[in-house]
Amino acid sequence: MKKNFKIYLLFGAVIAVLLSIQMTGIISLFKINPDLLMILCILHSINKGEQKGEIFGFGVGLFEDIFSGEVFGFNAFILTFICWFTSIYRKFIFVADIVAYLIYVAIATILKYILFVILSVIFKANWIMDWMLLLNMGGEIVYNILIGMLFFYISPILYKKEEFTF
Amino acid sequence: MQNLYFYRNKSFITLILLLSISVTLMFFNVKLNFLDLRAVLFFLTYPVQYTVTSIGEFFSDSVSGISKIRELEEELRLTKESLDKYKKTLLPYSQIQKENEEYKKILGIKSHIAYNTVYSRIVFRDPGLTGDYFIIDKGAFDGIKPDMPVVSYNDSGDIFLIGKTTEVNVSAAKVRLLTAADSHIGIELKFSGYVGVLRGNGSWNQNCVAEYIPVEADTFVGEEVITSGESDIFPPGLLIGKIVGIGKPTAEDFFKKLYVRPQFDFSRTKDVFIMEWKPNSDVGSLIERAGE
Repeated sequence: MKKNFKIYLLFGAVIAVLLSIQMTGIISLFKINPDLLMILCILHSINKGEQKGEIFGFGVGLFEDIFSGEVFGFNAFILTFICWFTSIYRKFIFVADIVAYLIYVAIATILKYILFVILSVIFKANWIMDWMLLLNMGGEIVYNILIGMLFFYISPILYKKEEFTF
Repeated sequence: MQNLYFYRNKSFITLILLLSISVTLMFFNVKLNFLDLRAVLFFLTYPVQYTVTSIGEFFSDSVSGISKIRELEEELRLTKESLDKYKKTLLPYSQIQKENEEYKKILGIKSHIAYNTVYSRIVFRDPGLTGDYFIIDKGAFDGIKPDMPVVSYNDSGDIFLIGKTTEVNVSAAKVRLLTAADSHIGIELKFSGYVGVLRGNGSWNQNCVAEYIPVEADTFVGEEVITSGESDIFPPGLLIGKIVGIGKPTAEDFFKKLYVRPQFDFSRTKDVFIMEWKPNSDVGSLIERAGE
C-alpha cells in the first residue's frame, strides 16, 4: 500500500510537471507544441495493459480538459481512444521496441488530429481542417517522436518492475 | 457464461463506458462551476508550474542572452570595421588639410615679398655643425640660376635672408648659407644706418661677424641688420638678423666688430623662396672693374 502510494505520488508529480510544461508552451518550436501527456499515455498503455491504459488516458484527458478550458470530455475522449488503440494493436507490429513505440506515437498523433477535427465538427460546429493544421500535424509528429525517444529511455524509472511485452 | 463474456471483453466495455462518459460530458457541455475545480487544480499545481516556467525562462533567457551577445559582437565588429574605414578616410583628409594650411601660409608669405619668387622645399641638409648649405627641389628647369638670393620665414611671418644659390642642376640647386666661412654680404644697420660687410664663421650655430663698422657708430644690442643693396646679388632691405654682441676696439682701431645672430634657424627651416631679382647690369660690371 505504501509502495503504491509512492508510485501514485510519482505519477501525479510527473503529470503535473508535463501538464505545466505543455500549458506554458516553453518547449514549443516554431509554434509547435509536443503532446507530452499523449506520449505518456501511450507509454502507460503499452506497459500496463488495455484497461489500465484506458482509465489512465481518461483521467489524464479530464485533467487536461480542466486546465485547458476545452469542452469537458474532449481530451478525455481522444486520450481514451488512443490508449485503447495502442494497447489493442501493439501485438500486430513486430519490430524493435523503440521503433514500435515511435510508430505508435506517430499514428497516435495522426489519430488525435482526426478525432480533433471530427469532435470539433460535432460538438463545436467548427470545421478547422486546413493546410496549416496538416503542417502543424507533420511538425508535431516529428517533435513527438523526438520527445518520445527521450521518454522511452527514461521510462524504466516509472515502469522498472514491468517488462516490455511487444 | 455471461460473466466470462464480460471478463474477456472488459477492456472494450471499459472503453465504451469511458467514451460514453466523455460524449455525455461533451454533449451536455458540463460545467463544474459549483466546485470551481480549475481554480483548485491551479492552486495545487502552481508551485510545479512556477518552477517549470522559471526553469524554462532561465534557459530561454540564457539562450537568447548568448544569441544577443553574438549579435552584439557582430555589431561591434562591424562598428570597428566602419571606424577603421573612417579613420583611413580621415587620415588623408587631415594630411590634406594640414598641407592646405601650410600652402595658404606660404601663399600669404609669398604675397608679402616684393619680388617674384619661386617656392621650394629643402630636400637635404648637412646635419653636421659645419653644414653650410641646403639642397632644394627646384633647379634650372624652374628658372633657378646661380647667385639668386634665397629667403625664408618663421612662424610670426618674418621674412629673412638665408643665403644664395651656388650650384644649379636641372631639378635641384645648392643654397650656400650666409653662415658659410666664405660668405660676404653687404649689410646695413637698420636704425643707425651704418653699412658694412657680414662674414660667416663657418658654422650654422655661430654668430656672423659684421666688419667695417666705424668705431663711432652708435649701435646697440638688438638692432636689426638688413642687406644694404650694395651688391649685384641681394636686393636692399632684406632682414638678416640682430646684433647680439659688440666688440671692444682698441684705441688704434678704426672699425669695430659686431656679432650678428642670423634670423634663420638651420634645423627648423623647411621651405624657402628663391627671389628673381635683377640688378642693374652696369652695376655688376663696374663692381668687377672696381679694383682696376
